[in-house]
Amino acid sequence: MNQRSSNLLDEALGLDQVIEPWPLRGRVVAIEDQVETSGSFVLHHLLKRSLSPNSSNVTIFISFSQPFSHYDRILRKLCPGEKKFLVAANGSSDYVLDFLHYCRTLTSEFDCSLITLNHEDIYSSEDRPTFLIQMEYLADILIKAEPLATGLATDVHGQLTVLNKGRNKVSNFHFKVKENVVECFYPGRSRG
Amino acid sequence: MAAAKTRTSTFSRNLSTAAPSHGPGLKCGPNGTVFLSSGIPDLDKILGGGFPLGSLVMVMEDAEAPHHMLLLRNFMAQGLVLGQPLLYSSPARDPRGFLGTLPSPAASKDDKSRERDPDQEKGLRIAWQYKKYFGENQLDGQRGSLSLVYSLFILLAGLTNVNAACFCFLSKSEKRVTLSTRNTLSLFSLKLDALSDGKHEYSNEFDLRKPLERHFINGPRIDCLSIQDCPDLSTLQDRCATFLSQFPRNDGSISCAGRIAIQSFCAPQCAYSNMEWDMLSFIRSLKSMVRSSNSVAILTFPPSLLSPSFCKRWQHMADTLLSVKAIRDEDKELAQLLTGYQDMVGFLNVHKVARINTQVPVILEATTFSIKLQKRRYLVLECLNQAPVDGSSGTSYGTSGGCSSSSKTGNLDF
Repeated sequence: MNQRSSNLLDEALGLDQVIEPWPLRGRVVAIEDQVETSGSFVLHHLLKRSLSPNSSNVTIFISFSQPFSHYDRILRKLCPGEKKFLVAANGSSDYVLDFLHYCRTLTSEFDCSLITLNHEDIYSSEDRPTFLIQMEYLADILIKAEPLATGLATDVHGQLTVLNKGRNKVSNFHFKVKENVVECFYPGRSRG
Repeated sequence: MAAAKTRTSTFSRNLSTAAPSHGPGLKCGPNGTVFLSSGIPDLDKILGGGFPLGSLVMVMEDAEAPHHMLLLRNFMAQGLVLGQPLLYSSPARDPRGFLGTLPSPAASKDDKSRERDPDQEKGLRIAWQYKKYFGENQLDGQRGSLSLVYSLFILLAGLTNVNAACFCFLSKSEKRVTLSTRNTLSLFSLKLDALSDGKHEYSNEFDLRKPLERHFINGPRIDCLSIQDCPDLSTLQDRCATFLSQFPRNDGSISCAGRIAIQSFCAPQCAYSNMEWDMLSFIRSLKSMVRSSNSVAILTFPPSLLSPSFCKRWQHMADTLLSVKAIRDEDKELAQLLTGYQDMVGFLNVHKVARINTQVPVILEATTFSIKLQKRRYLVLECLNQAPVDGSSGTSYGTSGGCSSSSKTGNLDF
């Protein structure tokens, strides 16, 4: 497996070239998903990229949903290298926005990147989903994972929309999640 | 967290934990997970083996029908039959009374078999002649293994063209079964240890019209709780924590697994039913407690009583998400559309299948299943079969992507 094999997702995020400093440095990335299509694989993908052998990145990982053994096991499948990551657990959702504002100030102060995963469909019934709108506004890169309009399929797990505000570019493609890699392709180009 | 071991390739099978020994009612699943049975063999099959230990299963109720009770009953009964501890909470005044309505495992293998070809029947008769040679107690204990021995008999009879010239030796001391014919000595020799992982020890088929025997219900490791009496959720949370502390997760072998069944969690009878945030944080803490223990929690709730936003939040919390729907009497349109409509009592939808230790989603071939009561006794789940309709079918395929559809039709030969 080639560590640096990049895909459409990397391209959209500007991670396809090996450049220092890390392209996501100082950026806020917001991932949004739904009950039908989990976006957690984007998180795994970014963790893998950030912890890749030739980077010196340190990741602070805060999980509200899964135990760390879960992420650890997936990362082991994604990359042979072993990296330790610092962990902190279970918080209360009431203060999340305050906390995220604080994290965002850290990105500018310490030049690190902030990556969040949120569930979009929670807010779909609200007139003015403050939290979601604020997150989308704060984000430099917005990634949306959605199910296909035509329903579930075994060869296409869903579609990703990546809005890269820095590059002023929107990319849209389909994806299929595998144990050790995420395949991204343009609609109709699935290798089945 | 990261081990000091060096790994040469991405996929390295962890040999040290390749064959852990598990107690009854448990079987190994993918990615280091261990399954327990839902009590409905068809549902186990659909979900790829059962419910993984450490997972939270949520069932969205149909406000008009008690179909979620079917799932709860079988889940609870399966645990009690296997001697697994149970915590049951319900908005009813007397939750223990509900245990009296749990179904009993189907009486014998012949009763529950659905379709059996006549050749197999004949083979079994030959085998049963040798029943008297087994001690009665052995017969009970090793039933799962014996059925395998019988099938080997059939195989032998077929191979050798001899009807009854097979002998079977069952050596208790060696835990070994030896099969032989008149001419050849010891055609098959099987160690029973290897066979003891029989299907019977994992799951049963339940007869919904036969109540569970009393000694299962009066077991000491059953805890019942009426959430109607609880002013807030702390009582339920404490009871769950105490219950789950019996099954801490350490990476060794699992001797026993627990089951938690919470019925109609946000029912209006409960004093806390308008405290949506409190209920959400209870579910979150339940999930994290269950995840770090060898147990499965199943929680049913009526989604119509929740605000849409919270309903979605709850759905996100579920590892495995199911919903049940009743069929209204005499829906003529549906009756025309589906074959076998008259036997159906409702539909089961699988929205999410637990994925623990993996990022790959489980995509099922079908997500909607009909719930049928076979012979009014056995709960069966079946894929929906659409009755043939005249004219054009599958319009959704035709409209999307012209190039792919044209190549598709070329592949189909009729």
